[in-house]
Amino acid sequence: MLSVVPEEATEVSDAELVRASLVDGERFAAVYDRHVRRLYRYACRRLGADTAEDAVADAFLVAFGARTRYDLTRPDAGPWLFGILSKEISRRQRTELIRYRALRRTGQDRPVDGPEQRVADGVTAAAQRGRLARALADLAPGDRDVLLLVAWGDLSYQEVADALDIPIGTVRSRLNRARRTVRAALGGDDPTRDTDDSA
Amino acid sequence: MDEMTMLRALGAELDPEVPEPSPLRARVLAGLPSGPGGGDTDTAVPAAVSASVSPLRRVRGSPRRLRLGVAAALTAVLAGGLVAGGVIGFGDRPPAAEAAAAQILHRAAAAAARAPALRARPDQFLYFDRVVKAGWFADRNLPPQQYRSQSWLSVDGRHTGLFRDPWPPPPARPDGVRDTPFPGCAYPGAVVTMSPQPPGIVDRCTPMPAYRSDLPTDAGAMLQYLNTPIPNEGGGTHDPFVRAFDLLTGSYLPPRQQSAAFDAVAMMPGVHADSGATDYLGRPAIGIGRTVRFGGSGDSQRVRQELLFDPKTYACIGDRLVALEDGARGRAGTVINASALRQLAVVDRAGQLP
Repeated sequence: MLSVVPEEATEVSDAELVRASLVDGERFAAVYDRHVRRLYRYACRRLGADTAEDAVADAFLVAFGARTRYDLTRPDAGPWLFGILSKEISRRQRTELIRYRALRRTGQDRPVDGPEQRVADGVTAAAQRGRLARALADLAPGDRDVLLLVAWGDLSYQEVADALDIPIGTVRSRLNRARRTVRAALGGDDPTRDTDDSA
Repeated sequence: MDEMTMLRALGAELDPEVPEPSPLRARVLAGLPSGPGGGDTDTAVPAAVSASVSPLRRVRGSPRRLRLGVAAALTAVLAGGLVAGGVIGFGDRPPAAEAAAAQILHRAAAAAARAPALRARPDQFLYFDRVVKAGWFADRNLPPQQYRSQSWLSVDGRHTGLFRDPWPPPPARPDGVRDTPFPGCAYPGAVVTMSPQPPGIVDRCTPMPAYRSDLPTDAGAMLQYLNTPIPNEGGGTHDPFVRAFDLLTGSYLPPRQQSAAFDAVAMMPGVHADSGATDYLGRPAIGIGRTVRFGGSGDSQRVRQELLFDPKTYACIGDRLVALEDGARGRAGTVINASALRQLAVVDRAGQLP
């Protein structure tokens, strides 16, 4: 049976869109459409909605300007965009730290250890949120990027390595260090504290 | 709950209220330059490009080439199937036949030069309405197909055209036609594909204008153009006659280019006239063509590939491929492939009838 569909006709990769955008800048809109939600969500978690919007907009404009240097052998532009966004977020570190401080306060406003030890899950979460926020604020920026790209950006270790342009071994060591810090901040409340870091 | 799980829970709490702020897209896109980013938008179409086949040459297998009709199908066969045997002119006609061919081609060139040019804007389409017989499936154990082939080809090659014909051959939809879009190449270097629907983006492209005002208007320059192999062309044999054939049957050449093409064919060796031909609609015609060996090494067959000219107006009205000896595609005299042009017009939209 003859088919009119060529075998190569598969979904278009980001790399192909980036390549197309070299000639037709508007093609880059497709790259935007594919990734904006994930990037915006990530930025929003770290910066809050208003600043996240700025960071994402700037990240895409930076990415557009840098598209001639995009490695066209990488079909998924996600890590590349997350790397650019990470830089935009670091430029707004003051905003990020203020945000964590606010979260910490919010957490401390809640009763942490009720005398009756009847601590509802939500209350526990609120308490832990404050401690988490403090830990995040205390992390070294590079460690924070790695930890949050994994936890909030849902990137794999390899993708984090690609995004931040660091060896995957560095990703692991930074992540271990960040997790230890966060675990320590959570104190004895964490029953899984001895869990293997490499999980 | 370990710290990663708690972190993820915190992240979820911090999620934005909307997945994407509505002004963000406009803001980002406003920052992107509109239109082509590079300066090569107006790059001329590379000269060594055949309008009818080149857009498809990266696509494996020949069926897609067929979308362009018999001309392209022939080229596919000649470029692919004949790799083993090569295209061989037999020179089995007396020199008088060559002289007659040259004379007819020069008349055709003069007639073409006098004909009014079709006027078309770059964003319009050339509409070709043909009756087609495609019998070259013989080697695929398929009977000859005959059908109406309508095609809308972008004047500048940058707009998405359309093929309308009962394709593929039976058993698929023997009763009706199919519309197959033929994506335009919006910008040189952009990437497009024929499918999936709607046309996506998978391959680099070069605009393939159907209106070939870019071609040489001088017979010598045209011959040189036709003699120049197409870079990356499939198959191994470059045949200038096939190039001319493709251009004349798969695109529109304005008067001066068409005239130059006929004069250029007149200069090609081994081209003979056959005054007793008829086209696929039964109209009397003069065949101008040459003899080649068609098919692979096992079942090759001597055939004659012809452009057909109206004996009164010397307009090119079709083409055909005739068996000269018994073989896999029929007995001597069998018309293996043919197409007759019923209408050529300029329309505004793909799918629009004149």
